[in-house]
Amino acid sequence: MIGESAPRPDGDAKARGRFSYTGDLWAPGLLWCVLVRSPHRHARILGVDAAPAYAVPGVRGVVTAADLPPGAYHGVIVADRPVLADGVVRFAGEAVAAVAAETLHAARAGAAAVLVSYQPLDAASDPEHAFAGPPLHPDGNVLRHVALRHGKPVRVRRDGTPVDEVVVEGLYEVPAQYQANPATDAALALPSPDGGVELHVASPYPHADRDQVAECLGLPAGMVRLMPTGAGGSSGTREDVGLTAVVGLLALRTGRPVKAVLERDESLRVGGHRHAARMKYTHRADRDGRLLGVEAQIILDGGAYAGVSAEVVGRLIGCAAGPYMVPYAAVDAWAVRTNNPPAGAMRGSGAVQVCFAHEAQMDKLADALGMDPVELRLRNALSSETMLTTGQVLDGPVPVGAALRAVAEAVPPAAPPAPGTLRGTGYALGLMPLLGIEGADESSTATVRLDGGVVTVTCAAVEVGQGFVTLVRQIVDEVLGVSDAIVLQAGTALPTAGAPGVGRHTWLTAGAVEQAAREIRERLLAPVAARYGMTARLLDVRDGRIKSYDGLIDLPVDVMYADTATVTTAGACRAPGTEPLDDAGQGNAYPAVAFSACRVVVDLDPELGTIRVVDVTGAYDAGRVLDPAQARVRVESSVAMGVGLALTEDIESAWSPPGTWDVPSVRVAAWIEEPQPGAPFGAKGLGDAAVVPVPAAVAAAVRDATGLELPRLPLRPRDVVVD
Amino acid sequence: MDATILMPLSLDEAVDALARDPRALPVAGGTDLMPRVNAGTVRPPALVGLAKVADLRRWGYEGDFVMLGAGLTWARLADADLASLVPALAAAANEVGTAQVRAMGTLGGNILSRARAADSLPVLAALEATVSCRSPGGVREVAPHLLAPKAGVIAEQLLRPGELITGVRVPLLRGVQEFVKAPVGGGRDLTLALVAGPVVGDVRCAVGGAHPGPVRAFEAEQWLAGRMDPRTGRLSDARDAADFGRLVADEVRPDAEQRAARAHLRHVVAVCARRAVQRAFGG
Repeated sequence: MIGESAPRPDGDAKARGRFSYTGDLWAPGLLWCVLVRSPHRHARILGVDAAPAYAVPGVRGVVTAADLPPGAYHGVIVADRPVLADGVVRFAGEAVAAVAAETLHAARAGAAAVLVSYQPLDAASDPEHAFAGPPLHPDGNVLRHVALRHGKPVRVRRDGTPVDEVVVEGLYEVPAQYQANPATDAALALPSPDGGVELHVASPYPHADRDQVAECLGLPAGMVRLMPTGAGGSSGTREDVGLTAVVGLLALRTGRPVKAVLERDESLRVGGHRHAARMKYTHRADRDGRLLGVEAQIILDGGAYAGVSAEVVGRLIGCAAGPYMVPYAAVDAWAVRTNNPPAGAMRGSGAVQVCFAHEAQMDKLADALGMDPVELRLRNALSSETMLTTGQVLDGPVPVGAALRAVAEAVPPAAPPAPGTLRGTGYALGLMPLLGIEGADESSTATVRLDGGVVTVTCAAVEVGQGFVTLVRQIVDEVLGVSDAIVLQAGTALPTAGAPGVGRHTWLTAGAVEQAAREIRERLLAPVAARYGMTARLLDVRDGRIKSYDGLIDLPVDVMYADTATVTTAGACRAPGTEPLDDAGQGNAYPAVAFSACRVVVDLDPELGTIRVVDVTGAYDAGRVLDPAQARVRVESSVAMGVGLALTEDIESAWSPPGTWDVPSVRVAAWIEEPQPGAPFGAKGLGDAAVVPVPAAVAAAVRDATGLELPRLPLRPRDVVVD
Repeated sequence: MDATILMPLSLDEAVDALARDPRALPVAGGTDLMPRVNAGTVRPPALVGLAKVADLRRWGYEGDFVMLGAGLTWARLADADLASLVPALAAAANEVGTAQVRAMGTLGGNILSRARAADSLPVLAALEATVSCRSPGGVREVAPHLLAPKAGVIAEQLLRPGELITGVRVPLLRGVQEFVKAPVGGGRDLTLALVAGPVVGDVRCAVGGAHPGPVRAFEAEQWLAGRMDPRTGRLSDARDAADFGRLVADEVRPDAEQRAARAHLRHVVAVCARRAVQRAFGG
């Protein structure tokens, strides 16, 4: 039932280590694939000699860019990334060749034997060099620039006297963040008898990946079948299409199944990360703490290829001032090309980075005004029918103040600070645009079939660990009173369910399932209701019984199915329409926005600079909590991800994920259940908005404890030592 | 991979198996070895599984020593009985990784770990314990504190090809034992063990995580011993702890690539040493 916790079908197997991830798959005659990767950030490829690799016993095939059809480039928005580097490498870790061999060791030895001669070129690793430096790609270095201009500077009061301004400035940096999905990146390709190829990969978006792979291999889309395997988590970008295309090519070449499993440190170099960001902010407020204006320049490091950078710019631009009413905003955001690994989409894309900056600014402002940071935020919080700096009026629920009050009023942690430590408390508010933005055609479909009381749901949404299958069963149970619906996870044999992420399947695909199920219900209940002189609307299906609102009718649910053999209906759900942002960054670009608030308490050892997160309390704009256990999992994983970015994940020098000891249990001060119009049961995706304020709140708490400025993440022990 | 896996049922069988093929590697919990095998950085032609060798998981007294089997897990070392005998080792055990790693990882495996963060080693170096390395020819006792910790991987200095670590001989001390562990960023930790022996003036301190092996601070130890009141066993001045910390940092000179990271490590060594002394001697 909706609103209750249900066990997940994959939960037990995953907890016991019995779940088969892509990397665990096997096929008779399997060859192992290892990629040859560039050690240089930027270099011309003078030649690739595969002959020494063929001399390694067990090697069955080596492929380079020359083996691919011309134009074997991929990319979600712009196809600018070669499957295998062609003439030039643009980041260290870019694939140049791939080797298939009988054993993993032979493949590794073969890859090491491939001779690539490089002529190193000047590498641009600093995003600010992208503007003046030579183009790193024929498409140029600026992937997108939005110059948002909103409102007019406020210089005088209503009575004509000049405004007494308080101005705070800051320069902030957030590093790239590695996805670190629980299951390693992997792909398996099987040659098909028709000359095509079958790909098993943990793709959250099988249709787009299938089309891109087919194009890169020069095959008609129908000859490439993509079977989504059980993904061990996906927080945005997973395996890149290039890897899938390479194993596909090797399978076609060798006529044997080919599998590649990336090492962790290999995945770290391949990219798909959260964008590194450099942000300069100026906030102006009057003496009462009312925001007058926000100016910001934001540069995202898009890495070597376009990826989803343009979309991330569109998403963050409306979040750059935070969930506050701002009469004047001038925000320039760029995503630029560098010789770093290409960035991807990751939970809270763009919003996480700007939140770190705008929330630090709000605390600075509170300090300059001598105001309580919570009070300052409440004074400026967005509310219903107010406007984002993109000019979009918020017509859905906007529970910013309620969320902040809930975390601020929650009981602080009971235990006193550990001896010798300093305790600090920090607050942050975040917002995140949901679904596809700026005119993305957002819709999803599903088919529900009822056959003698058995319900089968078919849709191409992929369970990537977000609990989608459970959600579909709960919806069917809620609408049709059947608790054990079969959810068919189909690959590319079914119509697309669209790209996942930012709450897409919770809203659109679940909405399509709900619509189809409701139609069946109306159709089947109508004759039952007619028999008693009622309409179907007055009947409720619950716990295997059909009951009327007044309790006069109480029938077993089977009577609904008695006269009907099979019913099949299709449902579709479409997101509210949006438009691209104009030249001034204005427009109704977001179908919906979700908010969250977070309070973090830390204990800091001032001598060693070690930080213990004692308490994380959050409040979440959920619309409706469909499954409390799943909602909690989304929030907890977002907190772990945010704490990692704030404290442990130093991707530049030594990447280290947060451990269980770094992340406390999360307290939910409030699920704010104001239904989102148009969404199934009023629910909206949780994970993205939940992660947004976490790194900002951790940093705020450490600032509170130390008095340090801390403009950069992660907060390494040596950055926070107070002597 | 076409590796042989042998499952000896006794210590003698295990030692014989390793002697027959010195390239074979013993595996107990596998928490350190198996990730390296999977990554292809070690490719043993054979593995000798120690799961069925019960002798490796025993412990017992030998005069003034306690003999700890190499197969004892971190979780077992943290139990109350062993914690009362070797408190610093139990303290180290409690801070290792996750519960899953503590349940599987063993003392012997940790001694042979390639990582700097082999948390047992500073404790063993401070205790002046010896590691028993067995081959068909007999048992060789090696003292980790007498090796060259700055020269390279300690495992290679400790064990000869074909030998098996069967256990550790730890002197039973009546004094105080302290263990301090501090994360220094990037998943790296600094560890420090401080032991005060049965005689006043017998202080030993070893630092892990600063170099490939555990580093004893012999000179700082002597200085501290000289600061003790021979009648009470207490330090003569409250500032001694901080001075000791600085001396240990000077002597250990932790290495790191960046200057800022090096300076921080030095600072952390000094703080950890000072805290260990304050805890051990009060003040």
